[in-house]
Amino acid sequence: MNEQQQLIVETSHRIFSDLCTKEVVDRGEAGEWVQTLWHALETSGLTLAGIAEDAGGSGGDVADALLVIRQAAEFAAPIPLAENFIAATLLVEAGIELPAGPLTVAGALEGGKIEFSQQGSATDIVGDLAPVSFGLHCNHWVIVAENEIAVVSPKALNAAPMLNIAGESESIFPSGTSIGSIEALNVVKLNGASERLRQLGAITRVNLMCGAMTSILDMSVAYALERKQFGRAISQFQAVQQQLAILAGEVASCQRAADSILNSDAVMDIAIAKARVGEAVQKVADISHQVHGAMGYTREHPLNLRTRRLWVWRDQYGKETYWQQQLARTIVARGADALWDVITRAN
Amino acid sequence: MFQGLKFEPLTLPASAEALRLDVRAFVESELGNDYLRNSDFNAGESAEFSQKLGAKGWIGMTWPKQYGGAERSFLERYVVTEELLAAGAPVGAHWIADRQSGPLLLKFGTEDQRAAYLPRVAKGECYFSIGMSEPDSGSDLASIRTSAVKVDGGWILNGSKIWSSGAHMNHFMVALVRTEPVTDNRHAGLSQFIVDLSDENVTITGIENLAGDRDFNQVFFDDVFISDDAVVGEPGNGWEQVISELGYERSGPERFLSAYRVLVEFVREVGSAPNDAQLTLIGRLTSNLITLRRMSISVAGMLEQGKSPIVEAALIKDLGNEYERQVPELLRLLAPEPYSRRFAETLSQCILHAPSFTLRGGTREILRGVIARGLGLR
Repeated sequence: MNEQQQLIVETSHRIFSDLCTKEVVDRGEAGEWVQTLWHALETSGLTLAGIAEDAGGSGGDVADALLVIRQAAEFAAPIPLAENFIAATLLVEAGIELPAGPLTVAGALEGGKIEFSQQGSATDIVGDLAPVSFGLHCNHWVIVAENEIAVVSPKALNAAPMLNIAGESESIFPSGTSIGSIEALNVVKLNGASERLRQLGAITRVNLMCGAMTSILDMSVAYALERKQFGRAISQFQAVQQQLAILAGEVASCQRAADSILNSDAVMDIAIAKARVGEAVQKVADISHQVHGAMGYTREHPLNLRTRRLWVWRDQYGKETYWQQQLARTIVARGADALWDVITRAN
Repeated sequence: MFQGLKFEPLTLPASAEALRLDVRAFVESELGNDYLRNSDFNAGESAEFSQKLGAKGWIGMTWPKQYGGAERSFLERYVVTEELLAAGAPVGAHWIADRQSGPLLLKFGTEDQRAAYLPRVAKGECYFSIGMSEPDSGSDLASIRTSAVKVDGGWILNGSKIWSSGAHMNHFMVALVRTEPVTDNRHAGLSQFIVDLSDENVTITGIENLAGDRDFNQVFFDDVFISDDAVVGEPGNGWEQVISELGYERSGPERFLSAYRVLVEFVREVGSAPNDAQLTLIGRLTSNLITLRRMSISVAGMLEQGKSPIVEAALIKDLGNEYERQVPELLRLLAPEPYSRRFAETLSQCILHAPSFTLRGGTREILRGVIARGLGLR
């Protein structure tokens, strides 16, 4: 981490510590827009970290944005920080001016397709749109087709609101219904847009999961040290120690995998990271909940704010299987005797 | 916030990548096509191969030139070791001497000891065994009973060491022995001796492992005279010295590559038309492997900086061993049948040796205890 990044991490950590308490997360999950938190991040320039200054962003590297996103996930922040970053990145790449306020983004459902179909001066959006995270709270959505994107006002669309298991509001479009119609000139060409969305989506999910896991390990160790049974802290029991050691190994692996895509958007690195971090979620959730006992299974305890999010993020923008297969296709194409070369090039 | 275990990303320098190509070319020319490759560091030994590596300057390569080393970095050494393992080269003869006995002598040995042993080790001519476990002392290493009493000019050693890989072929053993009676501090009063395995009072008995290999041994000491100049470091400092070996012993690529050749042969078996399940598994095992390797390289970077990353090394070994235990188990379920002879042999050899992966160099239970201590739990 360079000095600039150190500062970004410290600043965002302070904001989240002050303004993203359990009570704030609960309000967010009840459907409220937590404006105070967003506003504090926005005025500090943290919502547009990693977006070029001449495009209206705060400048800096993609890594800056991802470090803020990790922090947000450590605190289970109920805001579209990752979506805003992806949407802004795509808009800048397509040469579209950034609108004010929080942005969100959505492409086709896994296995589906989104198309912009021109009808005179209007454009129909047709296909299967993935649930739009925080759609209810964002005045501008970036909708992504295979090689085009469009900035859309959700008022023009036929969305139904719902909550996912992370407690994040999502706007969904029942299959077979029309998504909506927008002005034709809002559609802009961006080659490889849907693939780019998938990659940015995966990069941000990896960092979100990494942040949540870091916090989960801290919470689990702290709880084991403080919880007493049979007259002593449960951290004294080897059975508990061994489980926490496994947890620490998973979290350290995920941090290393996530670090490798702070400064690389090579598809292979993304594939490795999303596959490895997604795979770890099962063990991380399993062990942390086991250590926390029934208390950790309650809505009141903050552990579930993290684990519920992990269960959502691991599925978004390609599950482990998707990325494992992507990686494997590269390997198989080169053959058994080149496997080692593939591995050693992933520095 | 817990900040203890951090694996800083590290990109191998260009010098290391250039060296990689040299090692690769050398191994290809040495091994040939009909050599059945096994990436378990303990699976094969060849004095001839070790001497050729020595001639290349690839043993003891981080050591000072005055002791036969090449004064290269830990990262360059890392590349050499991983290339040899991945290729399934027979590295067993010099492995322990290069990895830990040599560095131990370099750190704690006398000037005479360094001059006497290190150049021969670096030439690939002089091999060491580890002398830690005893029949009644495995994970509880401080409970060892092999002991020595002081006599004029040296010590008289009695007792035995067990599970010493290659002791029947190696020249020396660094043995941890008790040189003072046990006190409340169990870690005090231990010392490390260099034992000449050709001494007439040393008896070496082979122990066959479940695969039918003669690899490890029990080594008996019957009034073996150890001269004062064969004590490593200070008498009584043995525990601290043994602990310092662990960063080297536990963090390297041999802790997650033991089953690697099974994965290579699986990729060969599925060829260009794998099904989705096979693809998924190849991707899963490779993403794990690449992540482990990156973490292990981070630790090589810490060693290069002179740090002593004991907890990080334990974590890599535990994760790596779990990984290499899983590799053959998962691949066998999805390998296309009938297996080729080559795949069948590689797989069965791995399965036979896999129980040792999570035992040698510290059991998984001990490693997790070390990690738990690092987390502040004990």
